[in-house]
Amino acid sequence: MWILRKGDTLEIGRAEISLNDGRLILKDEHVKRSILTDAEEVEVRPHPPVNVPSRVTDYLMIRMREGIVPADGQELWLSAPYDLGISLDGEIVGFLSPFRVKYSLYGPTTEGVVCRYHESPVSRAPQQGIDAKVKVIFKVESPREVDRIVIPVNELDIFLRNEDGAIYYEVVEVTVGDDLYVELKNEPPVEADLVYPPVKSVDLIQRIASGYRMVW
Amino acid sequence: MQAIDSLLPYVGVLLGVIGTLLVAFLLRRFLNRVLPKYMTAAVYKPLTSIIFYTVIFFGIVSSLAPLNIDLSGLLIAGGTLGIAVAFASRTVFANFLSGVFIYLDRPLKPGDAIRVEGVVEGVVKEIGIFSTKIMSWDGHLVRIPNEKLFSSPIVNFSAMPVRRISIPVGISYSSDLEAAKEALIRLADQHPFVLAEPAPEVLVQEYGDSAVVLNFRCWAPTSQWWPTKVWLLSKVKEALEEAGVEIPFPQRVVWLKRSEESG
Repeated sequence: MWILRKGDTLEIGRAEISLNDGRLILKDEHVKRSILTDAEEVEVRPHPPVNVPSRVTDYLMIRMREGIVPADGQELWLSAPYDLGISLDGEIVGFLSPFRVKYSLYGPTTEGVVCRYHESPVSRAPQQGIDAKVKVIFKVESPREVDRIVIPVNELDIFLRNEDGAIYYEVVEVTVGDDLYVELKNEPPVEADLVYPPVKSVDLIQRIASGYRMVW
Repeated sequence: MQAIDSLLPYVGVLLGVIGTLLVAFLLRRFLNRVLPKYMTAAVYKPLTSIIFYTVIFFGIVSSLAPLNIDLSGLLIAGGTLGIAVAFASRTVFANFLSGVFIYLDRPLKPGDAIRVEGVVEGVVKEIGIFSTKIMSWDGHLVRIPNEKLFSSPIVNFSAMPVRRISIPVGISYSSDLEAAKEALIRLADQHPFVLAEPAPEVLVQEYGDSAVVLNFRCWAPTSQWWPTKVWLLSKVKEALEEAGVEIPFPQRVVWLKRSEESG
């Protein structure tokens, strides 16, 4: 979570937020808003990347730049986008995206699912940069190539590392079999001083894991 | 003792009537709880009332049996009256039945963008028990009797998660076809709601009189189809011009043949 006080400007990727002269100005490639306010500060928090330019889905598709055939228990890191939610007195007044926004369809045009789209390199350690870092653990029942995963982001937990402001998704487990089953594990991906916005101890996260079965 | 015996049929009738009312009220309460999940108030309220009063009518008629009242005349009269009413209200009944079938078949629901072939195109506002109200794109509220709606071909634009955008674009014969294709694909890539998959494509549709007609096709989420199409339409010309591709006017090549004497 970032706090912006009067006179501050925050720039993350393509998003810019400033609080000057009684105006809160929000700007990215798709949004340009000016809000009159007497607030002394505004809060900015990472949110699941499904709100910009408008909400059309609860799913994120991460397309890997190269397909992989994962081994059982293998851990890999992907990158992912996030939105910035800007709050005034606890009320969200807008979302911005620091990233290029693109959507895609997973599945056939008759019954598929519209997803936020992101292309990611595959690496063995979290990559540098402003992208969120996603730790993926593979549980392999029968080996096959995986070139994308679809994550249900409605219940997604996003963490902020205090030390350097790096952003992490909760751990994602992918069961590879006839289908792929993508499950959010409700676990922080690294042992570090993480903050789960809204500020809440990581130990207190006790939510039902949510998952998505990829059948196409 | 005799007095009690003579009262018994009346007690039976009373219990029958009370039982009927109890069943009818419980049934109405049940329907009022369950039906709103599946249909709008315009449909379930009249439906519940019809069921409620039908149960009461038949329940009370059955309850009168211990009094040995001959109800055959009443039933015959009721039947004849029913037939007469049915003939008189054939259209109303047909609309009602069609409304029920529309609910069972679910070809559309409030909020869907639809086209009723030859009738109207717009957004479904309300599906009533006898008619359906559609707001046309021009802002007119059109009421269509359910019978007509049920028997008409309906195109539902909102039934699928995505819709295809198809834009025909004519370019001159002297323009670079590949440059035009690349410019249009680049344009599609700039808009967030032009879906990355299925990928946008540009096909040659026709070799026309004045232009090579390309078909620029891409997909967008159904809810974003219209604004995305409008944006693309407004940007196509600019994108092609930037790529040095000409959108030609209709043209005709005229060959003049001169006779030898005049030349």
